[in-house]
Amino acid sequence: MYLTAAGIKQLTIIDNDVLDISNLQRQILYNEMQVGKDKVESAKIVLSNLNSEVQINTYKEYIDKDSIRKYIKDHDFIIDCSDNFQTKFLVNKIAIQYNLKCVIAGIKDFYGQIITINPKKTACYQCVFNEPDKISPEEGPLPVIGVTPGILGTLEALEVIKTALGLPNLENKLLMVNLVDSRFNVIDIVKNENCICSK
Amino acid sequence: MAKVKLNLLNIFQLKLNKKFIEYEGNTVGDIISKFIDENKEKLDENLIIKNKKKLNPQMLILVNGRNIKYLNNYKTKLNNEDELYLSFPLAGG
Repeated sequence: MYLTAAGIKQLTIIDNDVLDISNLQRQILYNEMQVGKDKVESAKIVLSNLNSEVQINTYKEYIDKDSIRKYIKDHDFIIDCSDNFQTKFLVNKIAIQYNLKCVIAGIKDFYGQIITINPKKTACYQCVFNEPDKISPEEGPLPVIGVTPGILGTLEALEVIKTALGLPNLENKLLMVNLVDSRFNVIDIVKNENCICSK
Repeated sequence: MAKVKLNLLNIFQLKLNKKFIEYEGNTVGDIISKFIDENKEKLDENLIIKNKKKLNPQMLILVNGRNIKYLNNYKTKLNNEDELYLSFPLAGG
């Protein structure tokens, strides 16, 4: 929403989901009237009403290694809003392959983490986190307080805006958000010469 | 032995009610082993490997901003004032 409000030129949203009432606890873009409808179409209506000058493209599709390649042409930035490690690693890999900047966030309960990746210059998601095949499948819906994805999503929008303006961002930094203690922790991270981003 | 700081993030900070613990040890394994010995009653089974002195491999361990998977895992040697970070993996969205 903040990117649309800021007047970003073009926004492409890819999501195969239909809105469930349980989503409304955290996905405040939507309302009860939209339950049962495609998320991408509902999002387009809300965002177009917010700023009609922004071109909103929507695709009702799951993100996988084939679909993501179809839609990244003519884009400058990938924003990961997924809820699983597999997609986050895929987004990272595609960003590196196509030399697109990207921001990846993850949450659980009252906690979040966010990193911005500039493929040719900085540490990537895979430099920092363990590969998907080493992660046991604790995937699927994770417990979450509704405010947490709101704050991390807002931080992702902020990263896009700051990166576009050339302001200091979270490249080579991992921001850990602790909403129990209301504390932000920035960890300097290091690009790894054996990672996919260095090959 | 190296004097290092183990910074606790998210679930670990909540469980132990501490932001960091200072340890002495030669390797990451030394530090994690001491950490588990001292705190195993506060750590859920999904955080540690039962009967072993290791964390669940999902857990993120950084040494000076590097994932130990790119170093020498638990055998990674430590130097004085190294900063370790311990985090639960956060994949939700």
